[in-house]
Amino acid sequence: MEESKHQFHCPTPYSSNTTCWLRLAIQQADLSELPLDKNLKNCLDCQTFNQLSLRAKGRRQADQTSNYFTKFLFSQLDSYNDQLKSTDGSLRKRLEELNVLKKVSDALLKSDDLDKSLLLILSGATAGQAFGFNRAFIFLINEKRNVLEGKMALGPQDNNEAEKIWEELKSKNITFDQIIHNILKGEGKPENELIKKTKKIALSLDSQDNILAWALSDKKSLNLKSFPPNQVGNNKLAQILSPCGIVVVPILSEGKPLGVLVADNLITAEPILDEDLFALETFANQAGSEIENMLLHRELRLKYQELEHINQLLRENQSYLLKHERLADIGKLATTAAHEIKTPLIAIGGYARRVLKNYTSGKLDLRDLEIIIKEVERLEEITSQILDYSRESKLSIQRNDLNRIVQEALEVLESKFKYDNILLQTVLSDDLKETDLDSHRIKQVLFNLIENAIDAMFGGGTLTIRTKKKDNYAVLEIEDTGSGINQNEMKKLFIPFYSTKPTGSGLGLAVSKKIVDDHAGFIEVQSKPNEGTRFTIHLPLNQKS
Amino acid sequence: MPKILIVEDEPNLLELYTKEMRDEGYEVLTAMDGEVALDLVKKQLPDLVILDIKIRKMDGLKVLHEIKQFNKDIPVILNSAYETFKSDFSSWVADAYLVKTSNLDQLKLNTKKLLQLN
Repeated sequence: MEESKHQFHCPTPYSSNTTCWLRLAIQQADLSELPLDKNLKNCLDCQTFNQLSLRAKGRRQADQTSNYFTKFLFSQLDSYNDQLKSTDGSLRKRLEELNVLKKVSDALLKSDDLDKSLLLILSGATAGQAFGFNRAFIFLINEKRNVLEGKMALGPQDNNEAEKIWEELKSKNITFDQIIHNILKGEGKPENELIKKTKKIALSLDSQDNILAWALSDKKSLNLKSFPPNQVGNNKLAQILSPCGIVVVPILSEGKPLGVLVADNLITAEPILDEDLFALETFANQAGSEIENMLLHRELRLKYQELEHINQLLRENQSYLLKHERLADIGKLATTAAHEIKTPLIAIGGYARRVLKNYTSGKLDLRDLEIIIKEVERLEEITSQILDYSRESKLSIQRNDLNRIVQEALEVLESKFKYDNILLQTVLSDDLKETDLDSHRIKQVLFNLIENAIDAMFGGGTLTIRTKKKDNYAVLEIEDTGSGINQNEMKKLFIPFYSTKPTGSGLGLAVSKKIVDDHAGFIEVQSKPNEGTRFTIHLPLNQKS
Repeated sequence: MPKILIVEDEPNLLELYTKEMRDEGYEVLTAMDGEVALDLVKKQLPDLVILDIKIRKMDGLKVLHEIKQFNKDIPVILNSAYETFKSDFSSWVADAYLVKTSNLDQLKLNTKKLLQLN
């Protein structure tokens, strides 16, 4: 090597910026440090390098072969290098695309609105580093109208607008992440002309009608290089699309067509390569399921709002219905009341006629008058029970001694017990001196239940009244040794106007239950036919309001 | 003196009917429930029965049926506060169907007519 450095003349020695193999060889530099991609071609094209290799002519066969072989290897290496470069380039592009895809997907998850989602998808399709289309459009199928509707567009309408947009992007140095962020925050620009025009487009879904429907019905992408506007099939559509070429990609979700993604390069007029189309297809696939989700979500939200509305109506109606149920009860009450009132009225009328008849004949019987008075009292009783049941109850709650109320009620009934041969037992607990209740109403419950018990013990029996404290309740038990209640009757026990007694209004238990309910308490019944019945009333010790 | 049985579970009404019918000159038997009524029909053989329908122990219509089976010639007047039983075909075997009122003229008239027919 020492010898050879004087034997060749390079016309551009050391001058170029590119590294020269020969120079490095002369300087005996470390060849492994040489960046291959930049210099191979350089040397292959270099005259000096070629002359040097030609010198091997006429020398030994072995040298000659070696020289040719080296040159051949060089050229092959160069071609591999070219391939590598382009692969590297497309890999970098893929990576970019994947990156954009991921960012858009992530953003879509955060989007709460169809318009935002569509804008995100379009911003992906027009992202400079990745898919890089000048403009993109989304059309979605409207199933109700059976048309393909323009939904969203992204990009300039013409060159003027394009310059403005790109200037702005450059001057503010806006990154893709920022664009996405702005869309999500709803800080996008107001709708430009392109969006307005796009949104006015509604296309037939008939594949013969326009190119978008055609792509959609075939479920295949189209890469249309320059075409006359009349081939588009729709004037409004032709007006907004670039005549230099567009791609149409169907948006599918699990095979179901949702719409189409359209993109073009109106401004740069760059031809659309098939690999660009392929990339956009991947993107549209991803977008498909997102759009479907979004549409379902929107539908769900509409349904939810509908439900909310119905719920509201139901709530309003419920109180109305409750009131009406009560009115219906009262209507039924009118019929029953008429029957209940009829018997005493017949008696009163009958005795009055009798009194009148006997008065004129001078045989007046005081007993007849007494019966009239009793029957009138009965009428009063029935009417006040009806009033008790039908009026809106307003309790007058006070701190009371439950035992005292029980004893007062029992005193009133004392003569009745003797008359009906009833033995009274009381087991009263001491710790009920402070119970919140309406004493008048609770006494009424006691009267009703005790009178029922007496009626059930026809011919006599034992009545047991117990009071006790259990948890936060005052418990009141009224137990008889009477005829009991059978299973059938048990079910209807508290139904207003249901009575097994010929003289009962059928309201006693209904009124009692209502009073206990009004106290936020509850009433239970246990009974065995021919053995007796026990009513247990639970009343909260403390009334909150 | 014709003997009539009055079946009525309202004590005051029973008393009224009894007094009024006695004033009319009848011998009056009374019952407050279905079982007692049937027992009296069989043992005392009344000439006529005035029968309430809603009574204790045995339904008035069943009592009517039993009386007619025992002796179809005993006239029975159904005396009910309700008009509804008129459409119950088991009430049709009764010789008269009256709806209770404070005016006993119809009851007395029907009693008189049915006793005369017999």
